[in-house]
Amino acid sequence: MKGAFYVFLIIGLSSTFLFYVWGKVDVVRVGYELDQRSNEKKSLEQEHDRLQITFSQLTASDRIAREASSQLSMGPPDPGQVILVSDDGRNNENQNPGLEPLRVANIHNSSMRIR
Amino acid sequence: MFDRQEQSEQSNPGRRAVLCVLFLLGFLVVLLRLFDLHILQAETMTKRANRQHHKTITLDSNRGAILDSQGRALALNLDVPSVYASPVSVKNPRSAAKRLSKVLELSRPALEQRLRGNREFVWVKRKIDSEYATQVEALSLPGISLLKEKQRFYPKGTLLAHVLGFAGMDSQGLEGLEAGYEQYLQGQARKVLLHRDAFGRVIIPENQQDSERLTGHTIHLTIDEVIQYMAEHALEAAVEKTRARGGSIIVMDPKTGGILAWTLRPTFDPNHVSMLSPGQWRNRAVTDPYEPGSTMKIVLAAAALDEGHVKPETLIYAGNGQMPISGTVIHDHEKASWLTFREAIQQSSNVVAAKTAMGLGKDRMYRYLREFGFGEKTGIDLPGESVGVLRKPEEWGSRTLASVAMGQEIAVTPLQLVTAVSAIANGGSLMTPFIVEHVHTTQGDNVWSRAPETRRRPIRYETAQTLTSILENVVEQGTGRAAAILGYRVAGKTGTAQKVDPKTKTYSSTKFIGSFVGFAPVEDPRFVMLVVIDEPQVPAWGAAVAAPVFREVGAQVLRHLRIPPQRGVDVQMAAVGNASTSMIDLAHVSE
Repeated sequence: MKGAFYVFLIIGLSSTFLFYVWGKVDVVRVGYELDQRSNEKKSLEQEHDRLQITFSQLTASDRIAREASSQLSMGPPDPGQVILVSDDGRNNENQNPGLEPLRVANIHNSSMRIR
Repeated sequence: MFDRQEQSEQSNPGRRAVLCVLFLLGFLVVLLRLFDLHILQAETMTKRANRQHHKTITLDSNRGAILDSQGRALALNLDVPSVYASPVSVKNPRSAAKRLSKVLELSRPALEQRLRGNREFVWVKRKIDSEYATQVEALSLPGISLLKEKQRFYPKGTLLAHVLGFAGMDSQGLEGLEAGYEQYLQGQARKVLLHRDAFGRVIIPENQQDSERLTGHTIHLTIDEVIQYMAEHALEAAVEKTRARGGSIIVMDPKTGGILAWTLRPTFDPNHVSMLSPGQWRNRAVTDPYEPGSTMKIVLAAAALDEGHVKPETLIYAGNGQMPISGTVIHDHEKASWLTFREAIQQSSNVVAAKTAMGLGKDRMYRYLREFGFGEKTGIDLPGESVGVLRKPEEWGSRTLASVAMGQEIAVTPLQLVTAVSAIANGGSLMTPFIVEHVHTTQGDNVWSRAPETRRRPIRYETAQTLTSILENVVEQGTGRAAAILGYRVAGKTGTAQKVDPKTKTYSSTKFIGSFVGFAPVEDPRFVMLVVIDEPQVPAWGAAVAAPVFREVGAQVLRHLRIPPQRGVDVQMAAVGNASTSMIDLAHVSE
């Protein structure tokens, strides 16, 4: 009876100790995983920042104008080639009653000018 | 054999005793060492352990972004590598310095000196290109490491450079909005304690939620990148064409005071400021006043009309183009005898301006100048603003009143002038110009926003309307014809100011500033624009150098803002466009 008590006591103490060690080890393991995820997040954020800058550079007005001019032979429209029609309906009613407001564009002859 | 065993058994007690003593001594030594380590050297050892297992790192603050009115990025951050050394861990400083200095283009002796010593951290070179970082990594030098730092980056290059300013090496704002809005843009740098294992790996990473708080706020400008580009492109071309020393364009929304575009030439790239001098990045449109010339006649006209001193049709003798005053003679570029006030402004008559100002008197003239914001800061949210030069009436000479009416003996900043003209365009309200519309957190929560602010009303609404009609005449029939935009009603005024020669302290006969300030469309002004061309090398009349730039930018801005041209002018436009038979009015086709 006494022997069994000691056996249970030893098993109990050992289990508690093992559980404690397991917990500690697991905390460290989760810590490593968190660090790994944290580094992944940082890396993705850096990639996001880099892409944002690239996007911003690619959409810069001067670049678009340069590319449009050199690659697509585009240029600013001449006076009268773009007609803007009021979209609030008030001014338009007097001019063309009943017509939908329009923004008119046209292609000028055979050149590659896109309005 | 037996005897030998017996003998050894007999000597065992002595051996055992010796062994026991040795063990005891051994344990005693261990015990004493433990006592030494844990009790006597406890403090030192604890420090050493902490140094090995704990690492304090400083998390860089992440500056907030700067965006234009449409959310396009104008200033962002980028992670770039920096090289640092732990001199205590550098095994051979001489060899390390030799190899590193080659890759990083540094002075070898200076680097070697830095690598010697017992310090734990010294910078080798900060914010380098990634290709250099790869080369440094390949060297695998002990005690030499790389880390990532935040660097401010301006993806649009020179665009809006003088307004944005720039940030320094440690991400602190040094110039322009970067400096002016430092309190919002600057995130908070923070030290974080990390727990490391024997291999230096982090066991418990820093709290990620805290890192969110490090980022500064995002600021939204009133600037429209597209309008900004239009202004920059046109100014660049004009300065080049006229071989001018420089120039500036400011475009303002007259109803709110919000700045739509702001450009100066020469300009600079805020990504590369280390080789520049302060004079190159100074925002001269707020810091440097100039004599505005005839554009100042707008203020004179406003004062004279508002006081009822003249009416647009009042006839004034123009002295056949000249008028003696205080031993000097004022000249007009066109000789005329009698002119209505409207015609006088239309032709930019100096004689009539001088006579009108003298009729008004210096006190009233001064009062209106002050009312229009000259001689005081506009209150724009940019650092370094000048008040200009406006002396008090008691300090005026006998010719000053006439001179001020013509835009001499007074110095204004381009911003002051465009703000004053905005007050005419919007019906008489002097607005506080501003460039930052609102500030929000990275999560989108509003931190601060600005509402348009009226400083005062220098003139009545009716006066503003009358003056607008006069200024419209200037563009339709007067000196500002080159500023006319096909299809739109435009009002404005040209200005040509002689510059003072710093050597002779008199007005130069060769150095001029040509300018044009105007707004469109007249019936509902959407922008006020000032174009200034400094020292053009071609005929310097404002009409010749600045007005065409106004027309070019103005036409593009109106199209960009989708403001349709006036009725009746479509026909005019169609007539122009009819050169191309492909001009199709879809409205008619649909009929």
